[in-house]
Amino acid sequence: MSAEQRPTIRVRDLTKSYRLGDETVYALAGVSLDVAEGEYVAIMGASGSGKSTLMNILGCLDRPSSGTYELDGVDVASLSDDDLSTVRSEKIGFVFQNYNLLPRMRAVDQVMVPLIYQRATDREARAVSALQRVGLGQRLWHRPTEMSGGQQQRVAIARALVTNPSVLFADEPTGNLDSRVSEEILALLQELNDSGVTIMMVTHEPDVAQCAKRIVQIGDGRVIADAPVIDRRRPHHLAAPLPEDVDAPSEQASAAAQASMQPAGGGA
Amino acid sequence: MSIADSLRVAYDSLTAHLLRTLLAMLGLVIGVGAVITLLAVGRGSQDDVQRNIQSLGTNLLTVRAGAPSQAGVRQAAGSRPTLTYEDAQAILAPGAVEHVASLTAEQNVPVQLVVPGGSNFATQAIGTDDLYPIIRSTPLASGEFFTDEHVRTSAPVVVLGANVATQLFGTESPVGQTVRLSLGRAGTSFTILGVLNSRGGTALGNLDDRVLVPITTMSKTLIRARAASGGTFVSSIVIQADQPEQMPAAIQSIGQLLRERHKVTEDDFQITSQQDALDTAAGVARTQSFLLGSIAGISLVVGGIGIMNTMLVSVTERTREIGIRRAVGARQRDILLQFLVEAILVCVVGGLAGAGTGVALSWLMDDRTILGQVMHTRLTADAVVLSLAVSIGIGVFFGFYPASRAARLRPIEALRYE
Repeated sequence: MSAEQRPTIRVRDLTKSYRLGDETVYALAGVSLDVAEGEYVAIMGASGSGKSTLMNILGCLDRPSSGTYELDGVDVASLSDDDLSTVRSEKIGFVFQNYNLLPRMRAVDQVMVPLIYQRATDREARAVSALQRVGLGQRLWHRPTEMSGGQQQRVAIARALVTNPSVLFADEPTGNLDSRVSEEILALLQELNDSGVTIMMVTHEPDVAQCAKRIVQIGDGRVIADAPVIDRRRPHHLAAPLPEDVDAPSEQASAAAQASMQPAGGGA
Repeated sequence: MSIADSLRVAYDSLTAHLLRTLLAMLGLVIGVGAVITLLAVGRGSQDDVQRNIQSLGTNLLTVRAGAPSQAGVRQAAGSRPTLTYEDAQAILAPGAVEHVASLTAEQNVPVQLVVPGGSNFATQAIGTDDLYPIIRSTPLASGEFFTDEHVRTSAPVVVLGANVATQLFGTESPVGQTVRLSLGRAGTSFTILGVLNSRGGTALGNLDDRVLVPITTMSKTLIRARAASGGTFVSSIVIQADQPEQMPAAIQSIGQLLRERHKVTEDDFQITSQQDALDTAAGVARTQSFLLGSIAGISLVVGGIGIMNTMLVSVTERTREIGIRRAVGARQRDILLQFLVEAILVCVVGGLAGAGTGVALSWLMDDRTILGQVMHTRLTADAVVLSLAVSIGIGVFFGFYPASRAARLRPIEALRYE
C-alpha cells in the first residue's frame, strides 16, 4: 500500500446537489478521499448522510455535480454515459444488499453477463472459475429460486469478481442475511481482500464495519471521521476452508457460529 | 453485446412469458395472414375477370345506341336516329366497312316465360340473329340455334339458357316443346330449338338465365314498335374485327357509316372495344385488390401497436434488470439492441406464422364455392415477401420507442425500481 504512488480512488471536493423547488440540496457537500490499492474501506453513516450517493458516484452509476474523481488515474467525473459504462464494465464490480441477480438465470449465466458486455470469449470458463472462487463450484447450474440468500450473494460476488475489477463495491452486502450467513460473506470478502482485491463497503452495522481495515464516517454529505481500524475483527471460520458444497458444512458451521456469536455480538 | 447474445437474451425473455408473447404475436399473425389471403383473393378475382372478358374475344367492338336528343335541339319527327338491325346489315354489307369479319345485333326485353300447364319464369329475352353463337362463343348443349331463315321469316323459335331449361322442364329435354313468352299483353308461343351450354356468370351477366329469340320475331311479337325508318330497334351491335390491330380503323369507318345513315354530325351511338372493357375491369380489380390489401394492412398496424404495448409493459417490468445490466457494464446501445431484437424477433416469428396461415388459407379457398361463387385465389411470392418485410419493419418501428425508453433509463433509478 505504501509503495503505491497513485491511489486507486482519488476524490477531491466532490459535491452532488439536487434542486428541490427553489432550494438547492446538497447530498454531498465536498468529499475528499484517497483509497489505495488493496484497501478494505467501510463507509458508514446514518441514512440520508450521503453515503449511498457517494457510493453511486464512486461506482460510476452517477455523476458528481462538481469536484474531481480519478479512478486508476482516469478522471471519470466528466465521462460520457458510454464511457462510464465501459469503466463499470472494466474497473468496477458491484455487490448489492438484495443481490440483484437476474431472474430465472442459472448461476453460470449470471456470472457471464458482465463478460457479454466486454465481448469476452472464454466466458464460461471464467464464470466457472469465479464461482469456484466464491465456493459455489457445486452450484453452477442453479437458478436464484433454487439457492439460499447466502448462495445468491456469493453468485453476486462472483459476478462482481469475474471481470477482475480495480474496486469491488459492496452496498450493505450482509443487510439481507442472517448473522451466520453474514459471517460467511464477510469471511469471503476478507479472503478476497487478502488476495489483493480492493473493497469499498457501505454498511451501517459497526460489527460489519469492524471487519474492514479502515472506516470512513459520512455525515451531512461530508467525511466526519476517517481512521484505520485498530481492533480489527476477523470474521468467523475464516480459518476453515470455504465450503464447496454449502449445504452439508453449513450445518456444522451454523452450530459453530451460534456458539461463537455471543461474544462478538456483545463486543459490538 | 453481439447480435447472437441479444438473440439469446431475447429468446430467454420471450419464452419466460410465453403466453404474453404469443398473444402479442397473434395480432401480427392475423394481420399478415389477412394481407396474404386477401391479396391472393384479389388477384384471383382479377384473373377471373380477365379470363372472362378474354373468353368473349378481344377483337370485338360494340356499338350502342346513344342519347336521342341532339345538343338540346328537338329533331323533326321521323328524323330521330336510332340504332337498328338494318344498320347492322349495312355495316356487314360487302365492301361497306373494311376489317369487319362478322357481326350480330342484340336487343334485351324482360319477358315472362310460361310452359302451358306448367311452371313459369321471369327473365330477359335477347333478340339477336343466327351469328350470335359465333360472335359470343356460346356452344349449345342440345338442339340447335336458329338460322338465317328463322330470322328472315320472324319464326317463333327460342333457345333457352341452361338454367331456364332446368327451371322450366327439370331433367326433361325441352327441345321441340313450346313455351309462351309474354311482355305485358303481347305474347305468343315459341318452339324451343335448343339449350345453351352452362357457363356461369360473366362480365356481361349470366347467360344461363336468359333466352334467345330471333331479333325480327322479338320486334314483331313482343316490342311491336318500329323505328321511324321502318327498321328494327337494337340496343347494340357486336362486331368482330378480322384483326385486333385493325380495330381503330374499323371504329373510324363504322362511325362514318352510321353518321351517314343517321344523317347526324354528332354521334348518337357509342363504339367501345372489348379491350376497353378489359382495361376497365382490370382497373376495377386492381382497385379492389388494393382496398382488400389496405384493410388487411390496417390489421397489421393494429398488430404492431399490440407489440409496442407488450414491449412497453416488458420494459417497465424489467426496469430492475435493465439497471443491473447497466451496472455490470451494459451501454445504452446494448439495452436498445436487446429490446429491439426482442421486438423484431416477435415480429419475425409472428410474420412467419402469419405467412403460413395466409398461404394455407389461400390454398384452402382456391376452387371452393363460397357464397355461391367459385373462388379463385392466386398466391404470389411478392405478397409473402412484402408482408414479411413489413412485419420486420413493424418490429423496428414499434419496438424502437420502448427500446429507447429502456436505454434512456438512468442506471441508479432503474436499480432502485421496485
